[in-house]
Amino acid sequence: MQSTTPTDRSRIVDFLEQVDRRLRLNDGLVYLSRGLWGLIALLVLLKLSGFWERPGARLTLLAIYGVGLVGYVGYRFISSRGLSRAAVIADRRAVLHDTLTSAHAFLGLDERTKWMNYQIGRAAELTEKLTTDQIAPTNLPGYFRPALGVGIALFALLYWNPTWLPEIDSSLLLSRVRDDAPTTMKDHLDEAETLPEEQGELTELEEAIESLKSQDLELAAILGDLELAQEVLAASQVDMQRLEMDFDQIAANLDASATLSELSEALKARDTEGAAEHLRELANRLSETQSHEELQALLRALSKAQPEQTDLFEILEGFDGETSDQGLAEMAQALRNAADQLGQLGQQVASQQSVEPGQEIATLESSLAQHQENNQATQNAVGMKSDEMQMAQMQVDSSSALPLDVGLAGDNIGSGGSGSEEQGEATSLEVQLEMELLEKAVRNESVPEEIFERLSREEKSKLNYQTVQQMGSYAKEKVLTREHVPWQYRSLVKRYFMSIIAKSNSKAEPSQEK
Amino acid sequence: MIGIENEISDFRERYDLVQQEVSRVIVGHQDITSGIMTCLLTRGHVLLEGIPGLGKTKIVQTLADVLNLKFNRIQFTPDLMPGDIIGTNVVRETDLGEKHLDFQHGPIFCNLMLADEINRATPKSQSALLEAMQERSVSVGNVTYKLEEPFFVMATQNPIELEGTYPLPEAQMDRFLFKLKIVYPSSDEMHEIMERTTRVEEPAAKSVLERGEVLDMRKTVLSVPIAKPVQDYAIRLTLATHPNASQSHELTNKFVRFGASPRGTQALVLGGKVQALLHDRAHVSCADIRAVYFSALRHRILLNFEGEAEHIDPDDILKEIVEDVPEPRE
Repeated sequence: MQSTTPTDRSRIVDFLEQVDRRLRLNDGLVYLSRGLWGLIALLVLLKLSGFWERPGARLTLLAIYGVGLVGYVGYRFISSRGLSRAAVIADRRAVLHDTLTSAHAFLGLDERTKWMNYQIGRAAELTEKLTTDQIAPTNLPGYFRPALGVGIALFALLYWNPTWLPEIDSSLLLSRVRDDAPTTMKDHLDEAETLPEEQGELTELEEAIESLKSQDLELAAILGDLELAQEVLAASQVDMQRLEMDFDQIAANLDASATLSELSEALKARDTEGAAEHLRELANRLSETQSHEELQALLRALSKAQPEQTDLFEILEGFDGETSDQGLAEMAQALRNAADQLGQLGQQVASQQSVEPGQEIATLESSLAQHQENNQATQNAVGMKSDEMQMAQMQVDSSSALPLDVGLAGDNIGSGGSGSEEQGEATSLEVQLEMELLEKAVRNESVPEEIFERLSREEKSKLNYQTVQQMGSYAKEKVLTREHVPWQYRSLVKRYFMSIIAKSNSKAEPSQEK
Repeated sequence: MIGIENEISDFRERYDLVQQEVSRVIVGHQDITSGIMTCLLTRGHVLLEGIPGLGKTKIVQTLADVLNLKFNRIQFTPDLMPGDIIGTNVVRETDLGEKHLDFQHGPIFCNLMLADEINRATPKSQSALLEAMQERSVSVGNVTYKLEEPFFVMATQNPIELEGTYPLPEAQMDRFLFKLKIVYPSSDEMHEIMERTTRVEEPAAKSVLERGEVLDMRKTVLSVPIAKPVQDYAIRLTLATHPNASQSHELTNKFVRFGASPRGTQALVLGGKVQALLHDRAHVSCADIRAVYFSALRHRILLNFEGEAEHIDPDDILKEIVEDVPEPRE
């Protein structure tokens, strides 16, 4: 054992302490530079928020920040992270291959071998050749000077030219939001006003709209009113399905009359304007004798159809067939009124199809819900009702049934002179049921998709045939797809099968010999 | 202090002398020669792996000539028995007609032993080397025979002809300090090989190092100190090879079944000491540890099924580990 000379120890420790101090100084400069940029941000914030005009608050905030910054930088400078860190950094920067790290570690041991002391001595000699500037030169960060310049310039501007950076009025931001909200709401309310008015029943909706415009109502009350209006609108919708059934039945009954065929065609085509025009012409021609037959046919058709819209035709039903002048005049007027009501009905249907009041109200409600999230549950309920209405409308518009070639055959059975019955030419009933069509299509291997899917679309089948085609094609592809073996396991799999084949062959050979 | 300086310089001179003499016969492969010398000087054993014809056996034979030590070669074959390696008791009859058992020393009783194609012998015969490699002794019956120092096993194996071979058990692999891979020579080296080996006179190496000098060099190596931060670096490198441990590497968890044992860390530190002396340092640095990292740990990593299936090379895992494990922290 050979002890280290005090000189070697002090030389190494002194050098490492110098390096450590320089490293801490560099760290402090880094934090100081960052703090300067923070000070600039603080000055701008003080000015924008108006604290700059209040010297007391300004001085207090700047003092707190300055003391905090100086304190933190000072703490970083004072607190040493150990000489081992300095040794590691010195070794790395001077490419010393852990000479100082090892020497510092050996210095901390109670017992040292002569090799350790020798190593410490070599490290001490090495420190004589090194300077602190070589290991850790004073490093002022590149952003220190710009931060200092910008900070001084900003401070000077704020001090001598206080109006340079105008203070932001925070109320401006709030007022802009407040202005935006009614504008958006007004747009929705104006759209809501274009909804078709229901005779007197929409007054509650109008009141709610007016209240909204005047902003007198609470949002919860508005949502309640809108829900009520939604129900009113739903009740006032024209029952399209029933109306179309009535039209079809009346048109079918009018088919027997050749003179009213145009009216029948107009009803079939849902041309309410055309039908109303025909009724007006009939009223004008009521004095003519021919028109009485047409009127009778119309009345028969109405009596057979018993349409739901009896308010339109009840006056016609009261016609007893008299042809007095007074009766004819009342009849003509009744026909004109009926024509007008039919025209209005057509307009209402058209407006109902083009404008969805429920959707408009739902839009309005969603806009309101943004302002009051607590009413979310109420809004969802109204929205669901709107969806149900749309679903019902879609069911009415669903397509008709599959056309069948149904023909009428004559009765060609006649009686001969000999008294024996003679059968005429055989007739064919060209009726094909759905199952026959399907069987035929399956035999031809060309099953049209609509045959399968129609029943599903009409919701008459228990099985959802719409997915059958997709499932079938997917299954076909899956059957043809090869099972994937990851490439890294292929050699193992191959070896496994090769070994199986080899075993099976070896087993098979003796049996063959036998 | 002058004594240590001289010790270091003597070590380097002797080492350089061996290298020069070996290079008279062997073209290139300085790193292989250095690795073998490192194992010899740290009381370790070396496993050489390479395809046939790259000069594995030639290197070992040349080194044996240069070191002037007792050299024996055993060609490992499937029918080799343990008694063929360590020796056996034979019945001897004296002149008076008395019979007694006499131990016939096997070829293992030497200083340098070349176990050529060691993986061709059965595990039973391979295991006959276990005690000799670790304890430097051989037990036959109730008698234990000490082997003379230095005892150094140099084994070779062929990585491609695996038919009819017996891979070395993990316990035996762990006893080799280094596993060195011999690669193809370069174009210039090939020219040099042709010039040396296709003439009438082939170059021969002469003995330059005596047994005592080898033992002195061993003492010098063991004297080199290592600081705790550097030793911690070597330990962290080893622990990174342990799967599912706190310091294990991501690749280790994925592909490794068993990592390096403490013998691996010993190999790192001892190999680092030789490297430090060769670089004229009296302490081990992290660079010295890294210089022997692959040779010391590649054969101590046992891959799992995923690693075997994806043909992962342990060197690739070690490369990632050595890049990710940091040196002593600031």
